[in-house]
Amino acid sequence: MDVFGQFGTFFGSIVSLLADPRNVVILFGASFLGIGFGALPGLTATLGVALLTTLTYGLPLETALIALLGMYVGAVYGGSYPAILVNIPGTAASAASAMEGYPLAQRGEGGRALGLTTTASFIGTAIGMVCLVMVAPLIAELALQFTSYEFFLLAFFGILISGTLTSGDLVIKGWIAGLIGLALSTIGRDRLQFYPRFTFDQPALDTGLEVVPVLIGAFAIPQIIRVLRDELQLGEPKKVRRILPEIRTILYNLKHIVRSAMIGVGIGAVPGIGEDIAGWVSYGAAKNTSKQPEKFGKGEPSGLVSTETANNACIGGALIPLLTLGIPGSPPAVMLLGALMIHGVTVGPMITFDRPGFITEVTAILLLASAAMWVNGMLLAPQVVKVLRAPAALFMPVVAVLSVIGSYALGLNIFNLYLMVPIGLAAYFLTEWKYPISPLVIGVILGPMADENLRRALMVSRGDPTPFFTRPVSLLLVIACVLLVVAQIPAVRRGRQRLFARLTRPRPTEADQSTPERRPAPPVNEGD
Amino acid sequence: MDRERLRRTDLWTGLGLAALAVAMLIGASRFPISASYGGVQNVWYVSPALFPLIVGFGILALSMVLVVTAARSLGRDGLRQALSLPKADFAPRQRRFAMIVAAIIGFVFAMVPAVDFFLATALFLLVFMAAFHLPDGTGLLPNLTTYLVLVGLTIAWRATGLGEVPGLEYVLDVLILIGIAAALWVNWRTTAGDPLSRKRLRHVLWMVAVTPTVLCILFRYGLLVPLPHEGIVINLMEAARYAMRG
Repeated sequence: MDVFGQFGTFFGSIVSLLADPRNVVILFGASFLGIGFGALPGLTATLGVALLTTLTYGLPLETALIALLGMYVGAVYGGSYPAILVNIPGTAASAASAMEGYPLAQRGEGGRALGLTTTASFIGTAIGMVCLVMVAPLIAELALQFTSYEFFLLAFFGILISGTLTSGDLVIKGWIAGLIGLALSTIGRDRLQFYPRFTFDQPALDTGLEVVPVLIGAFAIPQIIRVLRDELQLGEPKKVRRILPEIRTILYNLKHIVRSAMIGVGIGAVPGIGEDIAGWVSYGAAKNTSKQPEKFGKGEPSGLVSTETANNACIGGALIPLLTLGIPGSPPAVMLLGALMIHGVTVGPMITFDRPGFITEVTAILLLASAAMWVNGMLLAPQVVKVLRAPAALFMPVVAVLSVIGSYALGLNIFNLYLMVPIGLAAYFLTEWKYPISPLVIGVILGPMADENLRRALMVSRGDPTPFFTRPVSLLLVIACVLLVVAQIPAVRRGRQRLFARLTRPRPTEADQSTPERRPAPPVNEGD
Repeated sequence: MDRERLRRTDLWTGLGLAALAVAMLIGASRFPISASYGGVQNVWYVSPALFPLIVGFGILALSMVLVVTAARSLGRDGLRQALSLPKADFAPRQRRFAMIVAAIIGFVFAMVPAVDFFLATALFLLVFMAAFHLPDGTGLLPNLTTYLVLVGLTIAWRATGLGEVPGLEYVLDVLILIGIAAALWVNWRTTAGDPLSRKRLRHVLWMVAVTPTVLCILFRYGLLVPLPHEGIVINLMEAARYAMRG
């Protein structure tokens, strides 16, 4: 399809989506709900998408996508409310926003800060969307050359890189989490020979682990336990009067916006890592390139704009590998992949053939979701601020019940609940011991793909593994995997650091000396 | 968690994971590798054992690296300390953790499969919210006790199999209804004389009334999802719906 054809499909999708009043209501409702989810302590974008998925079983695909993307975009943006007004980020994605947002609110400019955040988030999502529509078809076309060799290595690479980048402690823990996910994915009858593996003669395990209870268990239960165990509660939010879009400030910070959007898209496209890292990297870049870095940490609008643009641009970036390769780019995208699977959509290289207009349609929905977020943010922010006063002890038990009914509703199977609880408890302990959960979940999702393609590839070559090293793309993936692992060896890391130190001479600047004294409280949610 | 404590935990989790990996390898080695299965002669590269064996070896290798890293980081003294038995921790944080886990396990494994979903949810929300929303943790112990007694009662009732006898289907629901009334009474007494506690209890009661009603209507009639166990209340709702339709 040419560029004009794509634009035609894009605008056609927008018109047909908006023609149904039910879609409009769901769009604005999901966006508002998402903002509330992001703003409330303990609730995350991933959890929001997970719980909303359970309500979209009976909806047509496009309506379900409107609800899920509306929630996703709204929740990533909503985390900035407590960050700005209470100095406690609602989600990890907004942690960097507190650095500049809270000082602005302390000066009585909370409304201005929220206005900037809202507009920057809208622009960020829109730029992410443009990148999605431009880059995704190219990647999808390239991915059409992939065979079993590449698919196996791609799944392996996805797990390896997400394990490497999401691990807060030792990198090896991220890899172990990914392998645990792969191990869980082997439960059930294997797809090639239908042989029962680790089913312990339980017929309920024959079909393997359902994705939704695993996702809900892994993300919801640890969160419920953590929030109630630590009696998490936000302070009294700063007052907000009017919220203005601040177009002049936005135009003044245009270069920060463009750079942050690119950072957001780039980071979003890397499997497993998401909005939180994009926010911090972009904040750091804004500070390092600023002519007045000493103003950072004291309410500098460019810092706030950069962070919010990047974390929302990340959404479009995260959708690129999700739609074209079937590998989710961020934790909420993992849940989105589960939702798409439930609705019978197989994302990956064949998406352009199976559903030719699908990527354009998703892009159109993303634009609508960001527009709904902007309108909700501008008009309903004072109402959202009220939500910040809701006690966690009242809504966390409701989340627990929603998790239970959500896990059950798919397949009407009580066994899913029996599965959700132990997985949730295991995920809780793993997070307590600093194992990241995203690689585990990605492992569960990509495990069948890795298993099946490895055996198919070896079947084609009759057990000969050399095609893994002789096919160009396959070789590139092998090299990427090896480099990822080798780069973590302590001796290599030390050598690399020495090399960098020699190449880059440190220049002490004023910025280095003016490290902000006040740091925001840690985000109430460890993952998004 | 401080770094040294984390490394001690790493040592134990590494050993635990290694044990699981060995179990996985033993299990996978029993899958057909080159033997025939379903009339098809297997070869190693299409065997259902191939992938689990690779994953099992991967976990084993990485967990051993984790154990070695943790042991190196701890040193000899730290290692000795790590191998000694940890002291039991009954801090309030741990008590809250135990309460949350007990409530969730009781709800999922005992209540949801056997009790009317509306009643099971109402009871769960009442004890859970009152336990954590009432000030100074005053609601924690009475609510946990009430809930665990009712969970025990449910398990005992299910074990007798009397719920399957015609005419006795609703007995457990009635018992849980009485349990809800008891939990209400316990919380009402706990909050007596304290206006703040009473105010918070009223918030809890609102949520307990609204949430199960909305959820049951939404899932049962909006999404047409049959609820896990439909007992006295859901059947009453169903009867009311048919009565309204005429």
